[in-house]
Amino acid sequence: MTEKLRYPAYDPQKYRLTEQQMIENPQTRVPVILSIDCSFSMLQKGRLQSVLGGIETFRQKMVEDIIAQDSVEVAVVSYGGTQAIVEQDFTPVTEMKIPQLEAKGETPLTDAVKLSLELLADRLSRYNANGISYYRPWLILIGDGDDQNAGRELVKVARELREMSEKKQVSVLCITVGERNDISYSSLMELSPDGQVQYLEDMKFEGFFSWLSESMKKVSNSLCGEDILYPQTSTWGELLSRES
Amino acid sequence: MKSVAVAHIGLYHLKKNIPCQDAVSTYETKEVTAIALADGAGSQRYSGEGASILVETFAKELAEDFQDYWDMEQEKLKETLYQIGMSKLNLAEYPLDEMGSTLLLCACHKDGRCLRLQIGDGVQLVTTVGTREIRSIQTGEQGEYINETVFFTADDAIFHMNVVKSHEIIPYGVTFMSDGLAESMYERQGGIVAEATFLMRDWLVDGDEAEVAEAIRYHMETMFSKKTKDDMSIAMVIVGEA
Repeated sequence: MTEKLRYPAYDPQKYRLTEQQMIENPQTRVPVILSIDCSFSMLQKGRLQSVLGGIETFRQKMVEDIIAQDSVEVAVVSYGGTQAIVEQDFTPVTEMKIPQLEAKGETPLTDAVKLSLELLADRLSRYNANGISYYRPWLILIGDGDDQNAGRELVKVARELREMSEKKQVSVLCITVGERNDISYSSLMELSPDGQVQYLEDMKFEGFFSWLSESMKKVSNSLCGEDILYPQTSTWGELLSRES
Repeated sequence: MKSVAVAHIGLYHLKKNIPCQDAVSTYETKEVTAIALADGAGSQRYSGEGASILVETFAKELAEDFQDYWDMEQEKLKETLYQIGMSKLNLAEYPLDEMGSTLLLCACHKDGRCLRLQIGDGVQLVTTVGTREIRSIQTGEQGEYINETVFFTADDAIFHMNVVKSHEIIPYGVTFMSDGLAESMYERQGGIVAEATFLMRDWLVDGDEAEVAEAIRYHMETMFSKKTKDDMSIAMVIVGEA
């Protein structure tokens, strides 16, 4: 039996391709919005500083992953006082700057969600215009209080989020922080499409952002049709649901 | 007519010691050549097996009974193919919901009749042999997000099947690419087809099928694998002389 010939033994010049004859498609993106409560209560026990430390941990871990660093894009929206503000538009993690957040006044959570969705819609339209494919976006809402002034607007925004979630247009993660026996999370619960809020004890932000970075690595490394098995959240959070 | 089909494992599955989940097949009769390509669902354990069952079943089925399928009204054709595919999958020893895959299928009669079917993602290209003319490009149905698509085993698979019957002027070629290979062969933004796609087709026009298969496999190993970590596959058929 003769051994089967391996290319390029046949005719290397006849069957030869170069890099220039191929196409370079852009890396698939994972858009993530961090929407962070900057009301006065976030000054308690250094919560706001802990959030910023957690974001830095997240940034560092993302940059370590060669696929995630080109894939994950993060925007930061703060909400405190009378308005929500885009602290940072979508930016690759390699270029991400940790925002300087200041605490002020109340908790305009509803405005933050509306602003986040506008930001996201703009980003996705840019992706589409440039032929960039993307994974399902993530919206992460972190807060320690309720939106006292939104009223019916909160219900309306919650319905929009629920519809988007059902259509798999966005994954929403609601995180409430504070003292275990003194947490207010009814607004976050209303906004949560699955009726679940993760309770994060003070100072466990490192754990949460480490979890987030591991999850984003899994998303950005996943293949077509692959279900993603996220790490357990029990190391940093406690699940609160409408029924509980 | 000439045909070639190659599937190659990507780095992602190689690293995880998971078999290639892309599958390809060709089948020839005196008058018809059929090619098939299926990309197994990443999250489903036996999707590679499901993909293999589908490509082998359908390449043979369409080549042998081309006239019957050509004469069939479109909805009946979809229903019949779906039933055949599902009954073959059901005979396998694996759970049906673990065998999801996309499917690209083409049967070319030597007289120019061409029957194509697609479910899920992947790129199908019809070109005029001897030129760079593109007669048709279809990129299939993908979810809004990159890791979501439609599989043959879905409850509403028939609804997502795209069937095209055409009379092609000879000579022409049909090329199928899985989304992994398409990363380096098809530019999503402008719908631009890489020169390499035409060159590989031209190899088949001028060369020996086995040689071409080896050359494609070589480039998958050494070049295309740098552009994607996914499995890669291609199936091509050319009808008539250039």
